[in-house]
Amino acid sequence: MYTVIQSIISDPIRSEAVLEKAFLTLWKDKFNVDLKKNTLFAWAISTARSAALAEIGQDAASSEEVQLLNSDSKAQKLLNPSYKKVLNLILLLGNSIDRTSHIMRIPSSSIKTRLRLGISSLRDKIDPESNRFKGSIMINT
Amino acid sequence: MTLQEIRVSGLLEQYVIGAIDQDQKEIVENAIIEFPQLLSDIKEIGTALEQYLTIYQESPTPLLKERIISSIDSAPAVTPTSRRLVTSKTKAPSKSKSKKNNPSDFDLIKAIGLSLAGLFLMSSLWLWISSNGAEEKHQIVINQLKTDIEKEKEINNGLQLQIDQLGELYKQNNKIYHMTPARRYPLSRLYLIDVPDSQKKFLHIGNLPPLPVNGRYQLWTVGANGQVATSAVISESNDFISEVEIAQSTSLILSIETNPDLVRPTRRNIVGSFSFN
Repeated sequence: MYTVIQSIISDPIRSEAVLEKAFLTLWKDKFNVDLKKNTLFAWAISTARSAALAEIGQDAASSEEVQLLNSDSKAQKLLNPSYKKVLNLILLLGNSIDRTSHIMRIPSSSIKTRLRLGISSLRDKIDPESNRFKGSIMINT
Repeated sequence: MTLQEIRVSGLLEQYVIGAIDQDQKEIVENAIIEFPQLLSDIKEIGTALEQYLTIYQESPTPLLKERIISSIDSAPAVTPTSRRLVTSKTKAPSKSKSKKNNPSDFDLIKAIGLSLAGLFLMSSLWLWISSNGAEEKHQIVINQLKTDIEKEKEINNGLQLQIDQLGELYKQNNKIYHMTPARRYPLSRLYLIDVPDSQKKFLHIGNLPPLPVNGRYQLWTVGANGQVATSAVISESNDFISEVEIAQSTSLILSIETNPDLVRPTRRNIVGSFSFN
């Protein structure tokens, strides 16, 4: 949750305050979430994302930030660059599908496809036993 | 939607990230009820993203955990938790008591009596807690509605003020300068309205590009001798009107800046400029 918030806000002090808010929201909503329709991870991530976007009041990402996130060498090994850019713009920089489509100048249907294919490629690399990336693409966690 | 259609739609991925609108969210949640196997897809997507996020993982300060726990502790209690606590506390003593004594008929009747009394007390307590919870929820909804109404009033007042200001500003005898937008931001609109009656100048902006994190719209004045100085900081990106003080300046520049200590605008971040000579 902190990684998502920090990527969107880029300010450690504000990010910590937002993380605190996000946890309070989770606590207050704990009886409203239906885990038959959702998972804990999805619920936590979307709460963190909404809290961060509410904090900055818009979905914004400078091209420098996108470049910085795209240049990560570990992520290069995992994902095709075009899938990675879409995933980072949406997951880490808090952009909507439409805004990502505007930034990348490609239709939103292509953004959705790239997002799906990118995540699907990540899913293929997960070892079902350990729930981590398989040995050849090990990442220090 | 069929199971396959929902899987290839990309909606599940958007659902997990939270980049989804309410209608699409309902589609996904209805599909999960219809096809429970989608929940394992959602878990797999979550695991993949969780692992992906570890690449960019950053840790907050160690004290934050304690701060969060203490804020949760001081948050108002949630009703179902209180109910559970009451049940566990009241059950425990009666169990230990029954183990100690060898019950006679009288003891048995006393025990049944006590249990019934306990049950009555527990039900009353439970009803009291539930009604308090409902009342609390009701109060929260009312407060939320009041806040929403207040906000709406504020927005309406703001809009009315803008309409009045615009009507006043775009009168025929006022001089209007149009900004030349930078090539990078062709859609931005910026007007300077010179009102000769009041000797005041107003800036009307619209459709400015979105700000980066920690960024702001900075207005700069340029004097006749070419000297650049910072002027106002603009907080809104669209339909914003503000009075500006341009003194002896010959032109204005609007740029997007992240560093408040700059003495000149960053060339590549200039949104537009205009001269009124």
